Amino acid sequence: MLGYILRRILATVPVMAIVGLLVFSLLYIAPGDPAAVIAGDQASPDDVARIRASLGLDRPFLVRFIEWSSQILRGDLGTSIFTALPVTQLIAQRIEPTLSLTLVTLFLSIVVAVPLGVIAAWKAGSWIDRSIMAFAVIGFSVPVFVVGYVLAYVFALTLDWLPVQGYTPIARGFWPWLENLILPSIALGGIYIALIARITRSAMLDVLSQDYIRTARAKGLGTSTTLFVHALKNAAVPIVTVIGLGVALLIGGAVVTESVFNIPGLGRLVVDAILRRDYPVIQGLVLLFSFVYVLVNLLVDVSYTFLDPRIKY
Amino acid sequence: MGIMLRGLQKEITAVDDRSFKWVLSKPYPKMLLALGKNNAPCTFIMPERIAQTDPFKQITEYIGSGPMKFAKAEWVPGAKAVFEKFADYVPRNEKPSWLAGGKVMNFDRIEWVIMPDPATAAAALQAGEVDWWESPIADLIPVLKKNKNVNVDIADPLGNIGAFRMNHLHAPFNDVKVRRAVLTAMNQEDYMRAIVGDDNSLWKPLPGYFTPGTPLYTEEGGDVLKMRNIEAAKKLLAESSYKGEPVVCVVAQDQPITKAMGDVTADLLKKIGMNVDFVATDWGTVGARRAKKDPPGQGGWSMFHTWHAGADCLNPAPYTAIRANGDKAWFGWPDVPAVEAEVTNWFDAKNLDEEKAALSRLNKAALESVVYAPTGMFLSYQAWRKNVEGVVKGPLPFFWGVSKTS
Repeated sequence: MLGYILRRILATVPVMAIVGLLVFSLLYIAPGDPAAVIAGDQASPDDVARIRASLGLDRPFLVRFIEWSSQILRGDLGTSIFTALPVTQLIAQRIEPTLSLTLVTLFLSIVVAVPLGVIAAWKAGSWIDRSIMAFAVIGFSVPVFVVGYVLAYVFALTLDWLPVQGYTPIARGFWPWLENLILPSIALGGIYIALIARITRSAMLDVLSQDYIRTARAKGLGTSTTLFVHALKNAAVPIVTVIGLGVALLIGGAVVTESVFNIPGLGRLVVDAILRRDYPVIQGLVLLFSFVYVLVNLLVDVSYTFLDPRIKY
Repeated sequence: MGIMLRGLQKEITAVDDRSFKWVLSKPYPKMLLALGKNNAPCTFIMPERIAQTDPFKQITEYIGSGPMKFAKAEWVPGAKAVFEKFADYVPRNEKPSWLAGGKVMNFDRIEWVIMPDPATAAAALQAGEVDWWESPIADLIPVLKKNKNVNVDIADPLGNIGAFRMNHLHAPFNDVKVRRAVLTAMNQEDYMRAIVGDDNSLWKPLPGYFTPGTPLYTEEGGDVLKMRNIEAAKKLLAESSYKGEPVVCVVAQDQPITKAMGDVTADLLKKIGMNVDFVATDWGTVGARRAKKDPPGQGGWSMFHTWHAGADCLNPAPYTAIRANGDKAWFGWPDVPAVEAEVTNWFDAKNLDEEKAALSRLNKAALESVVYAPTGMFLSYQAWRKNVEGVVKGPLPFFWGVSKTS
């Protein structure tokens, strides 16, 4: 097992290298010029050219790539072209809101979606099942920003129960932190809940048709014990897989959710960086997101051995 | 203006700790304007160690020199900037007047929050989570006006001037007849309604280049913009060198103003029989592409849309877009000696009458050669909670003199 984990960690190195090369190349050939953005609307073409030269953007691709790669190997993600601040500092400023939003959404989604999926499978074909699946279709279909606006209108503007926008660091208290995250997490969690609920239902339906479940019932085990202790554990592998894959959905959804609820997280940072062509920030964030995604998938793979003892690496 | 002044400068010396002497080679009537104008590029006074920085390198130390200090430790770029009251600041004993006068600060702390989503900003203002919204979009104004706790008013009486620029270096817009044809076919109302909607109080026709309602405003030569004439435009186009080559119209879709104007222009060009290559892109790309002097088919461009703050269009000093000095001009690189001659005349003018005369001639010459196409003057709103008092109209939000009751 340890050997497998080490091999997987080592395998992330070429993956990250390829991601780095792709990101750098794509940004190199993409249209746009950070010098023009920095120079502003009143700048002359000569001003833009001089700023481009001072930023080193007029140097050849290879020179810039080698310099950037060696920086990355030293743990330095570079300096933002636009703010002149280190990329690591910009990420550090923004990581708490995004991490909080992602974790609360993940928690909420699992807590809501897994029982819904289990119940839908248990009551397969009934109105309860159809209602839950209809809810899942809505969750898939309605865009995050629409859900966000409706939630903000109802629960913040009309009922005045929760704030419209913003983020409060957890250091200022648990409730102030949480109250800013409730609406964004529900908005962001919609699609994730739908996905997990559908997969849970499907996996549970397979398991519930197995002989050992019939045996468990024949032995007189209660419904909840049968469903949540015996059936769910055996249905867990595809559920955990989809939770892991869904992290990409969360990262993408966070970009929209952070804008709708004015959360100063990494999603907004990456959008701002793209609009300004702030290459070091874009490169640093894409590397970070890729690393997180690779890491989550590694954790998912490792979790299989705990969920299903038949799986060995 | 800084470059002009440097060209005239014989010497600049410190007389004592609080005054300096500036000797020029000839009288420069616009000296006070050069030092006091309030839109970028403008005069910033810096400590010597910061002023020594290469002008093409970013400075890294920014604190401010007025009644508030920038709290760099709390700065989250793109999300929030915090300003704290500077206890040692002594305001002048007079009323404030935009950036001049006594700047009495009634707050210990100002949080400048950047909200990317206008609907969220509107909701935050209505819920009392923010006190003042600098630039609400026109679509949300009716909602804000209905809220009994919110005031809505024009933000900047000088407004903005919509514009599209044609590339004077390459066909088809290197032919003045083609540029005139486009101007003749324009209807500024189409552009303004695309930007501000049905609110008539938010736009004005602009048969010229200078900000309406200001001393140097002129309509000299502006008849071409007062009445659309599609047939005359087609005739002009037929007489020109235009042979149906594509017009590469680069339009930023992430800026509502340029997107709205771009759609109107594309329709206009088609109406007069031009072949439009509509390049829908983002502002970052427009910013890079417009600097290219290559032909339109080789990565260059034929036209792009933008807008200018009315405060920049009061006179030629801050008005980069009106200059027509060829290679040194703004994007599009118009080369019109008659315009440049009047710019010089304005700088040398010794009184308002001389200034007005120079700018009337400049306006006419610029329209005849179509330095760029003005699409009209538009205004925007600002909105603030009713417990906030002292908000003034101006080209920037001015916080001095503003107070807030709980």
